[in-house]
Amino acid sequence: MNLAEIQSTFWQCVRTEPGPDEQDVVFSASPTLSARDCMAIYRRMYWYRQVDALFEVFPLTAELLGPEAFTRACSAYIARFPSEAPAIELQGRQFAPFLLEAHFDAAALARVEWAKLEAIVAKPNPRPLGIDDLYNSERRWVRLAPSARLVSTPASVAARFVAVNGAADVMLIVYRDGFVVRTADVSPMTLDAHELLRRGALLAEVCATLASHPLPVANQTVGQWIASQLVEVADAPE
Amino acid sequence: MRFGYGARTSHYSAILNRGPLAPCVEVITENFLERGGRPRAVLERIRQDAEVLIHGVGLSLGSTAPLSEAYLDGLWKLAEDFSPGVVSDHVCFGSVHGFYGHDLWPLPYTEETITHLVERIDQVQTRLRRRFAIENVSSYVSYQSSAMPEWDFVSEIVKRADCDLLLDVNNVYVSAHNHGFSATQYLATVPLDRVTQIHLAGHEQADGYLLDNHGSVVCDDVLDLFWLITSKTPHARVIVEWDENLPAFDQLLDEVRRIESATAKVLTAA
Repeated sequence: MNLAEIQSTFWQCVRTEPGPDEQDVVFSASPTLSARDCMAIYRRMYWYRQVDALFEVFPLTAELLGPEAFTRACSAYIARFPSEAPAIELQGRQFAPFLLEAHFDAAALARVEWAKLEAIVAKPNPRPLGIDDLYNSERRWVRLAPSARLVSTPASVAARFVAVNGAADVMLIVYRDGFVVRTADVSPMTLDAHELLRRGALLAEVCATLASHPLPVANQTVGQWIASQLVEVADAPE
Repeated sequence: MRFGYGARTSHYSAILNRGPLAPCVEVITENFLERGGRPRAVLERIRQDAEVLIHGVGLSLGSTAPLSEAYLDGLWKLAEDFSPGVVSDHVCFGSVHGFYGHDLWPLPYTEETITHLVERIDQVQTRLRRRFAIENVSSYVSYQSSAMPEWDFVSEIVKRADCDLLLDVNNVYVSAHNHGFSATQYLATVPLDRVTQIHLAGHEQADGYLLDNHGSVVCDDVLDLFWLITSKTPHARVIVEWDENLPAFDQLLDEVRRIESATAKVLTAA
């Protein structure tokens, strides 16, 4: 067996119970444990460590489902989506869509928690929108800051983060303000502007969508973008 | 010899508010790659008063899959930005077929593995344009194909790759217990003149083996092993790692100072 084949056998051992038959000719017993018992240590750590990391990233989702159901969901997720990220907390990238198959509200909550993690680790805003940019709005290409995420959630889930009126879905914006991750609701009146920011647009286009609303709404929205560095100014695409 | 600690997320607030309070602080590469916000601020704060040591757990040096170019780019940028005293990762593999296990899996001690690792370390040192240190891992299993003891395996890699060694004394102790080899022979064989950094940590007794969990103070047996090599590694940074049952920042600093003080007495007596 060459090195690649040995590593493949190791991988099968940690991912499956009781592991492939080849393990008996690949691994050696220790003075106190059989080869299979030795590999069982690695198998336990493989699952424990990743489930534990998912508990850390998705604490509210875990609370909603309960520890046993959450652990079962994590194990099924890890079985289907082995981690593709060197950093363990980033293994949950597809967890929310995965949960959607069986747990609708939990999936929505997980989307918000994942957005919070992305906000924590995002690069800083390289060029925040400033007041001067408003005077050159025809030439300024803008988009959401690297840490900002728009997340559409059912009212029942949004209520965990913001005050909610009614039963309609709520668009949340999750972003980092200094070192703190904040969650706020996006006013339905400014939804079009935020959607443009998500895709990237000329500042003039974004402002035009706000122009049809009362002046205080537009002023407050743009003021919030500037104060919280929620918008990044970028080079206009060719 | 300088004594410091491995910074973990729960220490970030204390470091930002009070400073690193040690001459050298090790950070985990993966917690800082391509990141802004608080992690970046913590690293900048450490850099003001202490030497930064960058230590990876996800390079997967021994994997037969290609090294991640994105990872190497991020590591290079991190090293350029913070001029670390040591950049290191483990003699292990942690990914297969591009999937990560988030663990430090041991390798078979064979000529094939040595050749493979030497090529990979060369690739890393060339990309980073700086020396790289490899760390011995603790292990719970060995391979039937292994053709040499771990200390010869590690020594040969360091020699052929012309790299540095991050010697984890607790890992030597744990593996020696689990596999029934001599820890003192290990320390007598590895090239101590290449040791730029040393790790100390706690472990626990599990059912039939020692578990390297970094969950307690450094035990006397591990300190005794450490003191066998202190006079031969005078320029090494000594880092106390603590990952499970994480103590408050001050308790971690107390543990660093306890070991530093005891080591000074040992060196004076010698």
